[in-house]
Amino acid sequence: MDNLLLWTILLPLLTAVVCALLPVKVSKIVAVASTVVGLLLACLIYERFIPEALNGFQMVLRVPWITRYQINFALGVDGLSLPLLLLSKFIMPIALLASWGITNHARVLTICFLVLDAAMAGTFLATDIFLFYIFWEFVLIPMILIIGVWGSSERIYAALKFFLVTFAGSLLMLVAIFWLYTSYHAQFGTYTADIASLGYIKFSTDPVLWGLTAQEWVFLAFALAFCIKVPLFPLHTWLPDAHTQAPTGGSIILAAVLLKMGTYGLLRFCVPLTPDAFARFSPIIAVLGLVGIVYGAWVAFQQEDAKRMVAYSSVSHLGFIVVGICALSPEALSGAVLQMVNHGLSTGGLFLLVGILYDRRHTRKLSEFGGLAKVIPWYAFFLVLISCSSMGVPGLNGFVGEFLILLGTFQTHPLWATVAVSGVVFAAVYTLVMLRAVIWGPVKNEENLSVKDINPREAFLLGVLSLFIVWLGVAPQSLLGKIKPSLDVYWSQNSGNRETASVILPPRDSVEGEAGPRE
Amino acid sequence: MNNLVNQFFVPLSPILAIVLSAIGVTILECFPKVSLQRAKFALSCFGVLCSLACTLFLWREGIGAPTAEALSVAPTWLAEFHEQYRLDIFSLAFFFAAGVFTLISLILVHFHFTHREGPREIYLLVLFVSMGIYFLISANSLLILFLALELLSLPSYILVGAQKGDHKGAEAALKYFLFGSFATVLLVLGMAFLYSNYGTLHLTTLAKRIADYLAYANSPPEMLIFTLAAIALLIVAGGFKVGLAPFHMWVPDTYEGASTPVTAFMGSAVKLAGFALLARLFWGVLLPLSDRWVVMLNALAVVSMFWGNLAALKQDNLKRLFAYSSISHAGYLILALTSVSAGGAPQFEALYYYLFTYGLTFLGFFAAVSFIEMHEKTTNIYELSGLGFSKPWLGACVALLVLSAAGIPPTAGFLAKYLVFLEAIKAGHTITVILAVVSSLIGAYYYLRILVYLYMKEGKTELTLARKQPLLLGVIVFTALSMLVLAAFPKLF
Repeated sequence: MDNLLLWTILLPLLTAVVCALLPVKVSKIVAVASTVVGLLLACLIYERFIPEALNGFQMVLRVPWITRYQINFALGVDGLSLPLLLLSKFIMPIALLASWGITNHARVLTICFLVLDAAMAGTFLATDIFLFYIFWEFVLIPMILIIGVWGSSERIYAALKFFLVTFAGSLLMLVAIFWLYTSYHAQFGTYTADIASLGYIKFSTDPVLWGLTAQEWVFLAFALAFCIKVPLFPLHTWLPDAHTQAPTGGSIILAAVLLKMGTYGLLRFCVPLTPDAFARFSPIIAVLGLVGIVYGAWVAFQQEDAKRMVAYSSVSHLGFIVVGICALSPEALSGAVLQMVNHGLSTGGLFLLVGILYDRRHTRKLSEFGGLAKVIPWYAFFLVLISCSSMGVPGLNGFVGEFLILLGTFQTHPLWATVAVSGVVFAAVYTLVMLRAVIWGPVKNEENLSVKDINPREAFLLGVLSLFIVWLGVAPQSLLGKIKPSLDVYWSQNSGNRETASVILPPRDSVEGEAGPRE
Repeated sequence: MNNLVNQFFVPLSPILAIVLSAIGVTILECFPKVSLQRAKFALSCFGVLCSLACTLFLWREGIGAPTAEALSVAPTWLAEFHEQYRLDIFSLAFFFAAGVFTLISLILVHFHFTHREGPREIYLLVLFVSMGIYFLISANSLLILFLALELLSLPSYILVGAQKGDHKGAEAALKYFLFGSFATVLLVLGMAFLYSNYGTLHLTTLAKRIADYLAYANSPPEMLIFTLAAIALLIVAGGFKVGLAPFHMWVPDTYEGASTPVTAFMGSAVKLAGFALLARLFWGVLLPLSDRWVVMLNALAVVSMFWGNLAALKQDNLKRLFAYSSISHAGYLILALTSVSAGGAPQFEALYYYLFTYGLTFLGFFAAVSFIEMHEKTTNIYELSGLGFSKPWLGACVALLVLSAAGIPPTAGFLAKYLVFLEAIKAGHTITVILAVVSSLIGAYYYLRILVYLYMKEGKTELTLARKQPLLLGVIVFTALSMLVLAAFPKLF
């Protein structure tokens, strides 16, 4: 019971039970306090995480569960899951505080958030494939409730769509999990659900169906589940609905953490478990990611609704991360992991800002606004700052991640990098258009004159977000240094059997300078 | 004397407890002038509890940890009783499940019929069905199997039509009776084929003779044809009994027309009996021929999953919705039945775990339906509107049960599906599992619809508790919690 990782899951669950029994007002405070403690726990894990310990997972917990099938309740943290754990624990109090104003069924909302917190932590920490799947699916339940109960007018449609589309992907992943599990048994005579051990499976190179080998089918089943979650270009249709209809807190978590579960899954499962298939299909996925970058940006540019615009910008930004993963050079890899955190901070912040405006004006149409910089200067300040982070202005976090991704991708696939760069330009276009429509220019609409500026609670949330946005922009090494050794090991383990790694890479030490302060 | 106790009363004790309490209730029926419903209820519950206690005692005494060879290996002192009665791990495990299901059903029946008119003999009927289930589970002879099946079927026809003055109930009973007796006829015919070929009614001898026949090179080929015909007949008959498509026509009407607790009983305990029958026949006797029947049953399983799940999409009546969902669940359960790899032992755990969790889910959900029916007089899905907020604890329990029925983590329903699929993949039915997975995606939609009504629609009226119903609410909470407990500690089995 003294395992920190276990408590990151247990604490929110226990708090959820406590909250069910307390009066509504107290339960909100208790929930926020508990998530702050959860954040401190995550910080403690960050503190105790040893970058130089290169042998896989740390702080491992393993409790036998279904012994007949060798399924364990196994948790562990490595350089891949650490930043995402930190991110999810950091976002959770922000989402709770952002939902502070919701009064209908507030207690159930709080419980949903807490359960979601536990499920997300479990998803990132599980080292047993079965446990991972349980948490991965479990995330959906509180999330559809958050969208479907507290969302806007089309909420039920959006919730059902979100659930069914993601559930469809996960079910095929389940079949792939069974397949891995039984073929491990066939090869080694024992069962295991341990993710690392499953990587030892030797796949035969004979095609099983439609000219694809077993490994490729397994890869496709996993990739489908994760690409839906990311979401990759043709599978993204659930995202605009879900993000737009969800309440502010829900959108923040969806964008900041849930999408990262997809990219995390790609890195955790697709790359190590099915390396050859990944090598074969990564160009296709990367191209879809590139299409997503351009398409997402273009559609975001067309949006009338501010929240929908931010939602589509997520499609574009996640495209960068997917391209970074597919490039699989050490720089692109750390860039992708860093960008997962960055996108969580900046898009979470943007959803918060849109939500704040919606609370005051009850509309999200861009044409309704204009000239707000004069009326609500503090709001405008944060909007500009976080938008800059989102479009990757140097000095803020978004730049570091995108730069590393582009740098790493350029080393292996110059063409991909060239196309991806255009996404940075497009991002600037739609973000600046949005800024112009909302805060610059004269006040055209009378109603905008009486809009109140952000209150202390909102200022606190935005301030904390901005602090980390600037911090990661100026000193990304504080996070990168912690995870880089682990990611390098990951890279060297997974690049060995890839033919595409023929491009000569610079010595890894030179990357430190690139990732440093860019001021 | 001591010998008699050891050889007769101890192994038979789970059944004897039920029989004795049924006799007791029959005696109470002799006083029609006095209302003894409470006493009958208490006596029936006591009998079932005793039976459960005996089962657990036998489990502890005779058998240690469960093994995979549930059907073939049993300690000697628990061995076949007069060659007709078999007590092994399979029997004991199914006794336990049947006892739990009967107990919960009795509570539901009691709740339902204290509020409306029904036959006074309702507890007796439930006990008779339960007795039939117990005999069926432990039968080791085709004859006993058939008699037990009749013992459970006849009272259940009456149970379905038990609600007085209800036309739907009468229609349901008639349909159930006609299809049920048809299925019995086919079953008897199948058994007759087996008997005429192998000259024995005794299941273990029959299994041995079939294995010998297959091993013997110069066996007459027409015997195989008769055996295959018997298999086909048994599949049809068994399919009727468990509500497997395309033999499921009676299920929606019967489940909808029967009174709510009776539907709950049918969907849990009677279904369990149907699968006990199938497992006894196909695992116990026809296992050497598995390459013949696995394909047939798998095809029916896939049809059943899709038919049930697709038809359930459009249902607004909760009872009808769960009737169709139970058709699809029959498909998943058949998948567990067919997960026998060539020469491998049948995977008892997956089937049993699925049956047990599904039965509990079904009972818990119908307890909630019963509760709503009492307040709203209908069982329409709209009655659930806003329940998640007006009655948060009840709503949460119903949500948990529905999630479990849909097989969504972290509930036991997910683990059950997981184990079944895993065993099926191990047995090499990859394509079937992919189809099963697709059908459970379709199924997720209508379960989700229930969730939508629970939480995302405004309730018309606030449900007010007419009076406290501790037993019924206890059942709902117990089943809902067991969905989490069974998932967290599957080793309890």
